[in-house]
Amino acid sequence: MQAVLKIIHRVCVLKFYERHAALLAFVFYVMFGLVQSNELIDFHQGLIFASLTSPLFYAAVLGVWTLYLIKIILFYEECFSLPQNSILKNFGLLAPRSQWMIFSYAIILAYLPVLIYSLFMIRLAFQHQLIGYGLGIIVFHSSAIGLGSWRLMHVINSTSSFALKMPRLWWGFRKPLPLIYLGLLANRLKLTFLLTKLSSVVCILCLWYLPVDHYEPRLAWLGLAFGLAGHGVILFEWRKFEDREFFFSRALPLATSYRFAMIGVAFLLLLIPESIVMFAQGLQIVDVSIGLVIGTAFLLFIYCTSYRHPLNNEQHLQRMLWLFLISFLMILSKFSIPFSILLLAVAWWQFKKHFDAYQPVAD
Amino acid sequence: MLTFSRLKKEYNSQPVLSVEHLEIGDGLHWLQGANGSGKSTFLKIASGLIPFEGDVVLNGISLKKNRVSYKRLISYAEAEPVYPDFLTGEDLVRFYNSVRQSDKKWSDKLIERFAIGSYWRHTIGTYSSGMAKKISLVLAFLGSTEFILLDEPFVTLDVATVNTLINTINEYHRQGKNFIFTSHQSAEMVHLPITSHLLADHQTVCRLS
Repeated sequence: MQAVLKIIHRVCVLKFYERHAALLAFVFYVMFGLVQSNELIDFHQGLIFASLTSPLFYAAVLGVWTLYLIKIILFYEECFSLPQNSILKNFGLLAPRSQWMIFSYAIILAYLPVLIYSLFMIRLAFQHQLIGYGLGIIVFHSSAIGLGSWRLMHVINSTSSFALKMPRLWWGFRKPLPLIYLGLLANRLKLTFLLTKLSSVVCILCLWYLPVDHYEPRLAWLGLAFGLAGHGVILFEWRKFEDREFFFSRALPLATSYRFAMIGVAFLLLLIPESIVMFAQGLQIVDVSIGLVIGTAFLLFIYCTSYRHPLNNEQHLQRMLWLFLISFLMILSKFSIPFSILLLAVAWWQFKKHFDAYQPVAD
Repeated sequence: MLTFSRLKKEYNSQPVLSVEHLEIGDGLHWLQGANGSGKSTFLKIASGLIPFEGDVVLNGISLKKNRVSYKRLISYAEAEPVYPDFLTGEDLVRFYNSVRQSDKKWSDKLIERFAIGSYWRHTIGTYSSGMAKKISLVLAFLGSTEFILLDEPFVTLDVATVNTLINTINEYHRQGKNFIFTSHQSAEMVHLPITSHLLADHQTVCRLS
């Protein structure tokens, strides 16, 4: 049994963490890096208490965990379907109980960050006599791990194609540059996209509903700034995509200004959900447009300044955080428009200066 | 005429290629060299794919000074092409058609000639290396280019496609287009009217004949 666990550990679990290191590092940074160390426990206690007392918040947390679990299952199914991992098909020869235990082990290891945080939630729930919520978390995780293991057992014992088919988004017309970038999200980063947009929308709504006695669009823009800081993974994945699979496009006769404009259009399209939410919450068209300009300038700045050096996830997240803090202050100080113009100008200058001279990796 | 002057390329501060001066005229040019001799790097530089020191000039148009005009005149097919696996061959051909302002009728003809019509609407993630290679060759033949750079073009192709490729190269050559190929094979094996032989060796590229 130990040998079998070792194989699944190397082939699936470690690969899962390798593939999702950027996403996990980002979530960890948002949860623990943004708060001062002396306030960390109070912050998380407050957060957990809020999720245990609001049914809506509680449901949202369970929803995010469900998405994470789906990501784990889909990743493992993809691992099983790879030709180099055909050895895993032999797991079907083991007794059903052993199979179930092996897959539960694999799911638990990948699901560990959620389980550890849940332990604190359960403890707090029982401490504050919120027993129903605490038990709910235990039942949720037990069912999730059980169902996930059952699904993987079904897949490994099935004679048909392994990978769970997710609907592929397809456009039957010529794809201009922005749609190629968005295609990466629609086809390979669906969950990351969904989580990013969800957190962005929640941030806008949380800030927008702060009690003030007059119309104040800056609240929505501040929420948007929080949401933009959450776009780190998407930006990093786009840049990685450019450095690898889309590298061939560097030999095409595309003007630098055209590329810059098209990346800007991709960011504008990316921010459509936030614009719809701001508009639906009663923001005036002009203010929604300013929000879009702030968002596009923010993302373009981060993107275009990343060509100075080969990609580095840690530096990328640090730059995101610094820009978020500065943007937050600028929006508060009513400098949103001049600041956005400045960001756009610097983004263009950096792109023009570094794009053609950029060398991603040595051959 | 493709002119390389004071060309230098380094990876992680390690020099990998240096060409003081080299002129490549019209015709079919065969670039030979051992593994790691800098053949692919030389073609990538000439296609404008990677940064370098010095300059490359094609018919008076400098790659450094006029990138877009230069890149309109040159195309490149990699030895082992990598494309986004969620795109289809059709997406790529349409994208190239628009960027290189190529005639759709001509791309349709190439698709038929290289027999990629049966799978070009499938995503690239489902292609074998030979299928991806054929797509990359079709893309290299699109547009009003003057020089076509093919890195190991005969590798991973079946015999029928090798013959199609040779016929297409000959046809393009008759229309006045020029080629640089890299290969480990000898030029005689593919029966092409080679104009000159180039050698990549000791971190430089020079003319053999």
